Formats: sequence, C-alpha cells, structure tokens
Amino acid sequence: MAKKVILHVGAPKTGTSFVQDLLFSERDALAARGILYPADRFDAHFLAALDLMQLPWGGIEREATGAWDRLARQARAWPGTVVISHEILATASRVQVARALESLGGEVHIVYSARDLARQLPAEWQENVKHRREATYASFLEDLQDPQRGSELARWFWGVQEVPDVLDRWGSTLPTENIHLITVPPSGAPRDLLWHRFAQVLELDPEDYPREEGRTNASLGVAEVAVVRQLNEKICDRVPNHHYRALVRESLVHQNLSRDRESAALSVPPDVWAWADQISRSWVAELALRGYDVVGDLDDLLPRPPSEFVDPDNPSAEDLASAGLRALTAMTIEAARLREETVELHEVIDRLHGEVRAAHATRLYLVKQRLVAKAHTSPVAARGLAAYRRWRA
Amino acid sequence: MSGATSTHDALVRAWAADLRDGSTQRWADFRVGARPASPAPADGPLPSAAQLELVRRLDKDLPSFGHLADLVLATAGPGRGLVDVPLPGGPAGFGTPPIEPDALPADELVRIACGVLVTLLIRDVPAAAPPPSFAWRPWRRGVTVLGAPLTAAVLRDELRARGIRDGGRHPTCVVLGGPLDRLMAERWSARVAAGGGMRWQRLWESAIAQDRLPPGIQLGTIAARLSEQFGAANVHVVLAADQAAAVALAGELLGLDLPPAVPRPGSGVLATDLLRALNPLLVLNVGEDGRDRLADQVWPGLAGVESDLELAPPPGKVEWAQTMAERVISDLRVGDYAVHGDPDTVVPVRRTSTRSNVDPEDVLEFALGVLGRSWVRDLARSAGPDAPPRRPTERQG
Repeated sequence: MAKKVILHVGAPKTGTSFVQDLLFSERDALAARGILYPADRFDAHFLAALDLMQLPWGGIEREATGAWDRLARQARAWPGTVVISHEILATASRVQVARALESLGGEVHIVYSARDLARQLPAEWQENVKHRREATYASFLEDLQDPQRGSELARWFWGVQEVPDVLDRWGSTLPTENIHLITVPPSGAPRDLLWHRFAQVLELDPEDYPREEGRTNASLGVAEVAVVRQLNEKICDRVPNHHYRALVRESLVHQNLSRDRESAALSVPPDVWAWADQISRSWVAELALRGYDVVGDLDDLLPRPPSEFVDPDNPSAEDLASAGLRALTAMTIEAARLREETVELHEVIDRLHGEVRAAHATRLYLVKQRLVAKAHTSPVAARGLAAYRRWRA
Repeated sequence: MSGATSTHDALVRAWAADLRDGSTQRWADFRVGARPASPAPADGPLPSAAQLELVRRLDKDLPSFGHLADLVLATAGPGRGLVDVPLPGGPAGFGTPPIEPDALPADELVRIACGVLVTLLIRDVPAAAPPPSFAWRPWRRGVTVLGAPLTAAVLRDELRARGIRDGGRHPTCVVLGGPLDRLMAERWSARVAAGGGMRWQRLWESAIAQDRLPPGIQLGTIAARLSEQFGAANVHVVLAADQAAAVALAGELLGLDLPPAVPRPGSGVLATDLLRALNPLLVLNVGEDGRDRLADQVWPGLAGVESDLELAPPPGKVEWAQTMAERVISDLRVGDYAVHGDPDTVVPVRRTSTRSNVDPEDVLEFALGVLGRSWVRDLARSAGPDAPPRRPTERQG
C-alpha cells in the first residue's frame, strides 16, 4: 500500500496543465526518488477521473473504461509516495469522493490550487469558447450569477471552482492537516512562485525541475476570443468535434491566435467584479476558520482592483478585423499544408497502384487467376484450391 | 460538525430510512412532522436531494425495495449536474443551494436514474448472440432494403424469416419512405440504438446547418445510386404514412403476405431518449461491444413498446422540413425507378397532438419503469429476492 497519496483535484485554470506535464515528463526521475506518477499517457489521470465520475466527454470516455481502478491498483501497489492530478476531480460528488478515497488506501492528502474569482471567470469563459461553446460573455456571466445554478454551465463552474465546497466534499473525512490549499499568486508575481508552491506540497526541490514552457493553456485576447466564439456560431453544427479539435482548438487557437495576442486581456465588468469580490471575501473568511494547510496567502484569492474592461461581445471593428484576418491567414496556411499532405498521399497511392498493377501483370499471377476462376466451375479445381488455401493458412 | 448540522443530517438520514421502508412522504411534510432526531452515526455520505427524491418516486411494490433504495442512495449521479444537492432546512453553507426534492428538475432525477440503471445493466452483459437462423433459399432473389431505418429493419426481419437474403448480386431494391418527420424520428432512434448520443433537437439543427437530410433517409439519392448499380427496373421506392402501411405495401410489391408490422420494442420516443443518455455511460463501463449487446439483447425487453414513434419537427423547424420534403418529392419525380404510393406522403404532417420535443418529465416516468424492470431482472439473475445487491462501486470490465 502506498505510504502517502497526494491527490491534486483542481481547480481548472490554476497551472494544472503545467504541473501535470512536468510530472509526466519527469515520471522516471520521480520514481527513482520513490514518487510514483502512475501514467502511461499524459492524459491517464483525466481518463481515470472520467471513469470515477462516470463523465462522458465528447467520446473520449470510450478510452476510460476501468481507468480509475487501474490507477488505484497502481497506487496501492507502490510503497512510497503517489501523486495523482486532474482538475476535473474537483467536481466529484461525495459518493464519488468516498469511492476514490476507499480505493486508494494509505494516507491521502488533498491538494487544491485556487485562483481569485475575477480571473477565473474570464478564463473559464475562454475555455468554454475553445470547446465549441457559443454563449456570449454576458450570458455566461448571467448564468453564473444565477443563485439556483440552473444552467449546465453554472453547475460545472461552481462544482470545480467554489473553494470551500470542493474542499468540504474532498476533505470532510480527512484530517485538516492533510488538506493543502495552494493559492495562485496575483498577476505580476515572480513566474516561478506558483511552481515553488506546488513543489512544496509535492515535497520536491523546485530547483531540480526548472520551469520551462510546457503544455500550458495560453490565453486569448478580447478580439481573438470574440472571433473564435463567432466562428463557433457558424461552424459547430457542421464541423465534427474531432476536426474542430485539430483545426480550431489546436491549430487556430493554440498554435496561432494565443501566440500573437494583440488585443486587450479579458477581464470582468465592474458590477461582476464587485460580486466576485464579495463571494471571494466570504470564501476567504470561511477558509481561514478551517485550519487547512495554506500554501501561499489566502489574500491571493481576493480579486485585485479591476483593470479597464473591454467587452468581448462588442469588440471594436478594427480589433475584430485584425484578429479575423490573422485567423484567416492561419487557416489558409493550414489548408495549404493539408493540401500538400493530400498531394503527397495521392503520390503514394499512385505508386502503390502501379505496384499492384505490375504484380497482377506477371505470368504467375495470371496462371493463378485462371485456376481460381476454374474452381468456380470445376469441383476438382475447387477442392484443389481449398486444399491449397488450408495449406497456406 | 455543528449541532445544527448534525441535527439536520440526522433528520435527512431519518427521511432516507423512512423512504427505504416504503414511505412516499415529501421532505417538506416529513420535516414538519418528524420528531427532533438524535444524531445518528454517519453511514456513508449524506444522500443528496436527488437521490432521495428518486427513491420516493420509485414503485414501492418492487421486490426487495429496501435494497433497491440502498442502491440508489449509494450511487453517484453520473455526468454533469448539480453536485450533492442538499435538502432545505439545514444550516446555510457553501455548495449547491438547497432545493425541495419534489421541485428538482426532471433531468436531474433522470441523471441519477441513469447511474443506477447502468450499475444494474452492466452486472449482466450478455454474450454475443449467434447470427439469426436463416432458411437458405438460393433460388429466391435477394432483396436490398434501405430508407426509413426502423421500418427497413422490420421488413428485413420478415424477409429473413422467409429465407430471402439481404442483398445479393442482382437484388430487388426497396427504398422505404414516408413523412419526413417520421423519417427523421426513425433515423434518430436507429442512430441512438447504434450508440449515438444526439438529442432530437440537435439532429434537426445539424441537418439544417448542412441543409441536407441525414444520408440514410435521402430517398432520392439512395434510389438513384441503386438504379445506377442495379438498374432502375429493379428499384422501388415505397411511400406510406406509417410503418405498418409501408411494410404491407412492400410485401405486396414483393409478392409476400406479411403479417401486420408492429413497432420494435425499445425504439419509441422515450426509450430512445433514455438510451441516448445511457449510451456513453454504458460504453464507459463495458466498452462498445458490451453496449451493443445490451442495446440489442436486453434493452428491448426492458423498454418495451411505446404507442408510436411520433415526433413532430421541433419548433421553428417545420418550414425547413417542408422545403426538404418538396426537394425529396422533386427528386423522386424525375427518377426512372418505380415509386409506389403518393409522393406527397413525404410532406410532414403538422399534427397538433404530436409532441415536437421530448419532455423530461415523460422520460423520468419512463426511466422509473425501466429501473423497476431492471431491478427485477437483476434479482432474477442473482441468487434470490432476498440476496443483497452488489455494491454499486463494483464494475465489470
């Protein structure tokens, strides 16, 4: 049984991709130090989380059958420390949490990284847009402010982001010292500070793993995200998810628009900032009473004074045109690359056709063909052919 | 745990015990009438309002009802939804706001029901069924049946029972059609039976965005392709207002005396919508083969036959449906193949009595029935009615 299991359960948009990328790429080195990151593919813990929470995810769940039990088995078999990390675990219900904790055994530590709400709101909307959603920013914010959480969007957001509730669901049966809350530093903090905080909980020396640009989720600006949202309105009924993932999310957003962001950063309007600030203060007051191990400062969870708000539902025509042109450029280049691939594949097909034709033109093949045809009319030839095929098999 | 929390929790557990014993009392009434409860020892996580309400709505006459209630209370709601909805009356806190259980949206209860259904279904995934017996009649010409998927399946079964093979080198081709809204409904049901997860509304939105019908019900295109391949003289488009009439007309055409066609079990509107929600969960637990076997061999028996597969186009889609129907009719008029029945049959009939969307309340009622039958099936499979069910966390790979 594992001596200690460190279970990082979220939240999304708090540097989780970077941590998971590092843990996966360094898993052999970590194992040599007695720390197991049980993953044979970078999304292994994502699949395990889908299985644990019985969560369909655009067809990817097909690969998740039995993934949690496999992960738990690996964890139980490891004699040292085990690290498991995925941000969607934050939304697990109490029944699912109980199953997870029971299956892991050992001394479980829950790690939850949290960022101030005023930054999480636009980040989550942007993530939604990158996943084919068409909701405007205004309607997104309105949904989240509904106290009844009537929309699917609100249910998901608060399920993963409401810090006191997530920690209550995951931690109510564990000693408070086993609950570690990592706060994401405010904008402008040293780049390595968040990684140092994670490393502290994971009991790693951060200097042994210098922070490099890894698989991080880059941000779009106001105009870029507006272009992608409007694009979703036009294409989502016509482009299947696997093509959308490759063309829009990967090629357009990750490889292009987020790399040369030109427009203003997303933020929240002043009234939403005030609302988020009020909620954040209630969270911080509650968390201060709970006695968790806070890595960082609870005040990091209070929104910083709002920056100038640029409405992504009504970007300036100039910004929108600029972002649109960059999108068109990127997609034209991608289309050309794909056409090039098609041309190359046609060359391969032509070559293979030629080889097949040449093989069919040999005297031996023609004789064989005649014999097979003969087998259709002659019982003796049919028996001979059957015997030959049995011999070949 | 604060005093208020522990008292509330004890009251919740007392209501759960009451429901388990067969009570149907609502939480609002129970809370008022209940004696102040003493803190009970915690027995697993506190059930959510959705789990409790599902227990309250289940048929109390089901055998071993208490064990079924235990299973529901121990099964997490799968997928996305409200997380651990608390019951009203407890101390204010964080998390999902409290909701009176009988005011919960039906789709939340359907979600919980799906979790329990999957747990029951995957306990007994049937082995692959042998191919249906086939009386080989090589002297009879084969028949290729395409078009309305459910009607085509019924006709294929009838033909197979008479030793007529599907397809062949020189087949007679029958393309089955009818009102366009019915074709779409059959298409939806067939796709879901094959593992699809698209909602009725979404099927229409997708078709409208592409401005074309789904490939399997493009009657004109199918008939033209078959004509090209097998000759127009061998292609027959059969149009009728409903499934029974289409099968009868096709039988007449083929010189067969077919019995009146009945809808296939498990392919009705509510069964389709429930299976749509179950499909990804079944795949997640037993893989695609396991899901296929459950859908083919177990689902029809559990879901049964609904009155009819009547679904009108969703609001706002009727006009497009009519335009498409006119396009289909125009295609059929210029083809060289034979068209049996009135081409105007393809025009969707705007029936005021027909629902244009699937009502979650209806699906919930239906799911409760399927859940009861699944429970009885599970009891029959296990050692006996008093045998406790397996823990819901057990999975079959």
